[in-house]
Amino acid sequence: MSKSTAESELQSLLRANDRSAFKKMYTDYREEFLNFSKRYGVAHDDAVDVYQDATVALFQKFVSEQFEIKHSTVKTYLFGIAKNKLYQVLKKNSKKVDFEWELNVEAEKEINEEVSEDVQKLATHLNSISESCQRLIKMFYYRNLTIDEIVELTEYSDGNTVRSHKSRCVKRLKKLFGVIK
Amino acid sequence: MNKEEYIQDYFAERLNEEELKKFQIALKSDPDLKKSYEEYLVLREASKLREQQELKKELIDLESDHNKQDKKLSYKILLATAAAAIVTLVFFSLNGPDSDMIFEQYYKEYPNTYKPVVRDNTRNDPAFIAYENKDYEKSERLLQELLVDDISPDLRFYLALSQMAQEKYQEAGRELDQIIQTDFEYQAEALWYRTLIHIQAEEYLKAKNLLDLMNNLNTNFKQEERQEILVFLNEELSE
Repeated sequence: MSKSTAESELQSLLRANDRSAFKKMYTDYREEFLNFSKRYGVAHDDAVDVYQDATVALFQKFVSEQFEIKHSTVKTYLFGIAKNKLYQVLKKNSKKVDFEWELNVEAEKEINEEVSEDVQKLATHLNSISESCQRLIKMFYYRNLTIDEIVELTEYSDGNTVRSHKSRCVKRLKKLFGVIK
Repeated sequence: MNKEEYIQDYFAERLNEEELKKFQIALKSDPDLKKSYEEYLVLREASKLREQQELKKELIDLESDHNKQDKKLSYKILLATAAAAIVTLVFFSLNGPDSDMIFEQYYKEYPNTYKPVVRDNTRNDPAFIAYENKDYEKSERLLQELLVDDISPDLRFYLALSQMAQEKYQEAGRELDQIIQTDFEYQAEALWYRTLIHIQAEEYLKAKNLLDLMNNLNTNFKQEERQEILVFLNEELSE
């Protein structure tokens, strides 16, 4: 398999929320990133934490935005996010270092998202609703799958069934937690 | 199309330029749309956050596996290994070598790390569901079917493991022989299981050669166990 085919296959799997591809992305470049961060005196655990956050951020971008990297590679983009995050850690620790890397403006927005208290509360309580509701909410709100796509991927007979089930799930959430105002 | 689907199209960037303009105007002028938009946003962020927490947990678990493999032989471990080696040596000098015992002691079923079964079952592979459920007869059959179109060494590795779990050691050995020289994700693991099959068949020289091959791979997989088994093999081969 050529490099570009493998790259485009990896991206397709990541967009399809494939957990094996997610873990492969993490494992394939982990060593290289940890060696890179060692050069800047970053503690191993901090470097691992940064790399994990970067991997999660990029994977979520693939899944929820159906992201496509056209003029670069998964590795380059992942390192872009991770390096920006690393830069923040070093800045926080007031370390004075000469950065050899260019900060990636595009990747920067993947790492600075703060969430409101309502969102945090709702995320915690999402575990308390039924499995089928959790799955449906994830497909619609997180993966941005259309109603037709959800019908294709699930056992629901048609779009209207999906719509009414989703509506019941959201109502249940509202009733339980009163979070959505 | 209802409001939520309209908002989803906006977030998924499925609106064309004209529709996007309309949406932005409506968002300012239609209080109902604005309310739905805000609700949507909270649900979207909460789903994302929850997924983020799950993914992070998966990586923490994966990292702990890495750590186990990466762990260098510290002084303490060296001592433990030496102690284990002595115990093994004493045990065998008193009781005589027993290939079955070695096999029983070191053979453990290998987890499905290739295609872990996830909650979103739309992506799950029946062969690996069967494997995780320890239905090895079924996983063997399904993996054989997959291998007709895809000669992936990863699939063959799991086929061999399914066979080993059913004590079909000869079949498993034949499958592993096809992949142990291949550079792939589970090469070290494949060598380890092939070594165990050789030991079970009392093919000690072949087993030792494979352990040497593993050493050349610089892998940390089963490092301590390999040292222990080498004690047994050296003893056996010196007789």
